[in-house]
Amino acid sequence: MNIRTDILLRVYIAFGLIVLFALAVLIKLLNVQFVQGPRWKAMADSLSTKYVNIEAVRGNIYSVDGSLLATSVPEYELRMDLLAGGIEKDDVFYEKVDSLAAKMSAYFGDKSTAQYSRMLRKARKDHERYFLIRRKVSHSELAVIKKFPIFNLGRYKGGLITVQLNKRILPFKTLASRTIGYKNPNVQPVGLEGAYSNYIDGETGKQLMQRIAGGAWMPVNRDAEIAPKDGADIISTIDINMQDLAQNALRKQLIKSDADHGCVVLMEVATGEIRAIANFTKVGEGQYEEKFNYAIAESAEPGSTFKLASYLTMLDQHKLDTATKVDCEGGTFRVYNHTIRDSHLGNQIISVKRAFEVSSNVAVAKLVYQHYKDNPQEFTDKLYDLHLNEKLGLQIPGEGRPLIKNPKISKSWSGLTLPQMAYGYESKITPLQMLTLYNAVANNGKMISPVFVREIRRLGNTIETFKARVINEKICSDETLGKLKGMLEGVVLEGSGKEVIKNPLYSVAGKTGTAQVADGRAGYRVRRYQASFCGYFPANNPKYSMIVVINNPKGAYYGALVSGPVFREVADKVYANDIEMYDNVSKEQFVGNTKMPVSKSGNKQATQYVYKSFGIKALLASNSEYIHAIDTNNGISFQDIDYKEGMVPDVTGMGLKDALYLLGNAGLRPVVKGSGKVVKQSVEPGAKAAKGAIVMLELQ
Amino acid sequence: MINRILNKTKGDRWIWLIVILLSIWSLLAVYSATGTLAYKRGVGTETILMKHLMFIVGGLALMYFSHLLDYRYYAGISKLLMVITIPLLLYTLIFGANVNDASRWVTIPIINQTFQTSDMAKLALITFLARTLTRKQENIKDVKKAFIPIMGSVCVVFILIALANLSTALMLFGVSILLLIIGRISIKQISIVCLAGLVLLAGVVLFGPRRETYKSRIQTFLHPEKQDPDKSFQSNQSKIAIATGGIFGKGPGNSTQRNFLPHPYSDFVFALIIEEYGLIGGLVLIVLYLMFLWRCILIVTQSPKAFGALLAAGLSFTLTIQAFANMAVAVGLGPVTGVPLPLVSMGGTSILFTSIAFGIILSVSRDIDEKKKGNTGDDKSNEQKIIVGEIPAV
Repeated sequence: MNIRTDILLRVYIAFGLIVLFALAVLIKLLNVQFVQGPRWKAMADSLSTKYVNIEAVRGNIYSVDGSLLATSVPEYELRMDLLAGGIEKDDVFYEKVDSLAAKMSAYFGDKSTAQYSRMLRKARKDHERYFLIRRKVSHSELAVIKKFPIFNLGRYKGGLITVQLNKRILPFKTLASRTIGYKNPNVQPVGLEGAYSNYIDGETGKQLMQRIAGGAWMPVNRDAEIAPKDGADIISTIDINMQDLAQNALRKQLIKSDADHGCVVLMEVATGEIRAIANFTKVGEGQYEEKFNYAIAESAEPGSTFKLASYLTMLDQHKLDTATKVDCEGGTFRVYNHTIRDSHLGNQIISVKRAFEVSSNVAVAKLVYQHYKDNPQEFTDKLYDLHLNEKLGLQIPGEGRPLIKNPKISKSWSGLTLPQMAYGYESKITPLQMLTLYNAVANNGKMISPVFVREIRRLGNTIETFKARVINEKICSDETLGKLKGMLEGVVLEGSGKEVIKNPLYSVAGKTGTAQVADGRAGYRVRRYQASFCGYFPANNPKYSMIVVINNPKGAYYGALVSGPVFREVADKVYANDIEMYDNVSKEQFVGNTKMPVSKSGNKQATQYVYKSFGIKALLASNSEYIHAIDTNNGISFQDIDYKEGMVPDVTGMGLKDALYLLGNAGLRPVVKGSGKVVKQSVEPGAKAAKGAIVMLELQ
Repeated sequence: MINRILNKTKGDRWIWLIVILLSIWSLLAVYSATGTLAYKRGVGTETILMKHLMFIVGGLALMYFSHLLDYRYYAGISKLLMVITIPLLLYTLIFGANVNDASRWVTIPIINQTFQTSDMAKLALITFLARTLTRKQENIKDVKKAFIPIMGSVCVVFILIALANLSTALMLFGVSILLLIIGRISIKQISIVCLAGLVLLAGVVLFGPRRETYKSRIQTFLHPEKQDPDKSFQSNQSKIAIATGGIFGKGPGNSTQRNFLPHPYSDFVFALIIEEYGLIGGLVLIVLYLMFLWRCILIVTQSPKAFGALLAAGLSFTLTIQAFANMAVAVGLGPVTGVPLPLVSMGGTSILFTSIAFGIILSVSRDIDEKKKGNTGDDKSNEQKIIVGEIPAV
């Protein structure tokens, strides 16, 4: 064999080997594509695309007057990629890490610069790519943090990762906070947030996301695969002003009497809508917080406020009349070895009405015992007819279960039960349930269940409205109602509520209650009281009913003295703010007045609206946004206010709101003195003024 | 001008065609693959593409010039290259840029361009072997005269490269041995050295500066299921790219795996090509390389001189073995190593050396064509006469 063929042979063999190698590559390629294919494809899907939940925007909760009671704001969790592009190089990172630590320490204030520096260096060493920097960072804080060294390199280079979470806030802070409630993961939801979470939560959407260069995720399609459905808004019946009044009045009284806890509920008589519901628990000396919804949850012995139910029963069953005389025996009544006492001894033979007014325990116990001792069922049947033994079926969870005994089914029924029940013992009822009874009397016998939510709206459209459930169309005859109303008014005019509740402008009807509270182990031996006042106003044409319950006040403990002032304060202010209740104000004071109302200059639309509401014809042909109003004999004519760029506008005659807006827009700095409308401006209208020039305004 | 270049362009037309096709394909693949790289560097993808284009054009120019040069000059050049290469490899080992624990790169001072010395060493060694084998043909079975100097140079270059880049060194060693076998060096002697080499190799793997990298890569290859997913990440991503490519591929520029594949523009460019051009694309690429090799073998068979034959064989085997090694890594036939796909991968200076290798092969081809033209009519006898004249029978 010559050298040439020898070499060529070897070359051919080598070529053959390479072809075999190429074949092996091809076979493996086919194997990966077709045999292992499904596995890799599945892995590809899981790696490069994923579904991400898109949190729906939670609905808001509004008060009845349209104020925001609960809403969601963004809150951030900050994390850091210690190996981000901009700080990949050691010298860059270590040069700046200390200044970052110093900034963090100064801004957060919880750790020293050295501690932060150590933390960051360790994270760097551990190659952390999702290192937790801080939770609960607000949007404005984030703006500051983004300017810190390293972070200011930008989103990808600086390694700052922000995770947006939605935080629920109550703009009015503690105002009705317990009733608004909350819904947090792993905690029993409370209040409206909990009760209406199905509506408020909305529906989580889904979005298909794809990994792109740099490891970031971006949506595959512009629109979400399943669009999130934003939560519906809840329009509650709470009136933010009344709520504020109620809370302030209650807190003041709780501090004054150093009580354990207390609640106030204000309800609109005709609709059953709760306008205010305040609950405070003592958390420290002179400090009270909304921690528990006593008004709906605390089922307790009501005491004297329950006498209304007793007299209602007796009057309606014609056992007695308001003028019927009863012997109070000086204030003690002995029955089954138990002595029932009046809180103020000395009552002798008095009328039923008087007995109610002075809140005689003896009288009501004696009367109920006398009339029903042979047939207690007749008495309790009427109470059951009032549904006092049932829950109200509220819109928010946590309602306390009432207890009204019944000789047939109650095992603990004894001879003493009947007289005890008569003045509010051996029974349990929540403040709201008691209020519902009083409201029924005020509402001409129609008993309705309280309402917290008026309607549910989605994108401004009402999707559901709520009306109060009628518990009992007519709890008693009109005759009985009239008598009861007279008695309730008597309490305030002549009886136990006389000193505190009386108001010359409007009348209140109600009943005091001072119940001795059994204290866990000590029973009734330790003197603890629950002072309450339940009633409605104005007495002649009831619009609101209200209950105030204060638990374990120190010093004075009578309902009239402890709860009465709260009732009065709230009632006075609600009355003062509600013109509908001023039934003795003549309409002439508004209509038929020959003098034109003094008109301000200002925004055209707003001014026109006001005049239109008063039925005053406005003479107007104007294109300007701001106008002067001029009184003429024919009506009001308007004069345009024109001003050009760089000139001082004429703001005389305007309210402060319009004046500030106009001057601010013109780049001037107004300084204000006085109140009312602008009577003088320091720089003449039409004069040229530099940006930022000061204009003194005199208001009168 | 263009006509003049075309007129002067000689050598195997098929090889030229393959080079052009691969270059165009390279531009497409690199453009698609460098999105992530561009993103990381903060430059536009086009910037990277332009740079790559410059290298390809530069490579083509080099190929053109080196094919014009009579291949016999390469015998002398190879000696010179060897003299430069060995100190340069040493320099690289000691002072080279350290990338991923491997010193493979040196920077050329004035133009500030890094290049991988092993690329140059590859070219130097193969041409040098072709030269020496030709020269020692008469005493080819003599241990002292032929075997020791030839095998010695192979081993020195191997060790110097292996310390930094074992996979490249191993491949070069393999091609060298193949060339020695083709060059009729005693297989028995080679086996002895290879055995010794194996011991040496084990030493490098177990005690070399990059032992941890080797261990984990080989472990990953042998037991993919035992490895935590991060370690087998590269090969998994490559397989995902291949599997999702299907028969016809996702279309040029539509790769999604380029975002996960490490070096989708060089080491794993084959995976990217299959993802975008499908099984068909992969097949075409394989056939292109095999066709190139076949054309080279035709050159080998027609080459009147042993030096030309060995030069063409050595260089073409180097290039094709490298190509299939790259593909083997992508499809999971071998452990993950950083071998570029010749002419296709983005690789700066490596393209230039690859182009020179092509140029040398074309130079041999050009020489054959010119000889053929000069001796039409008495083709066969002439051929044989030269062979006999050049390499006497043993």
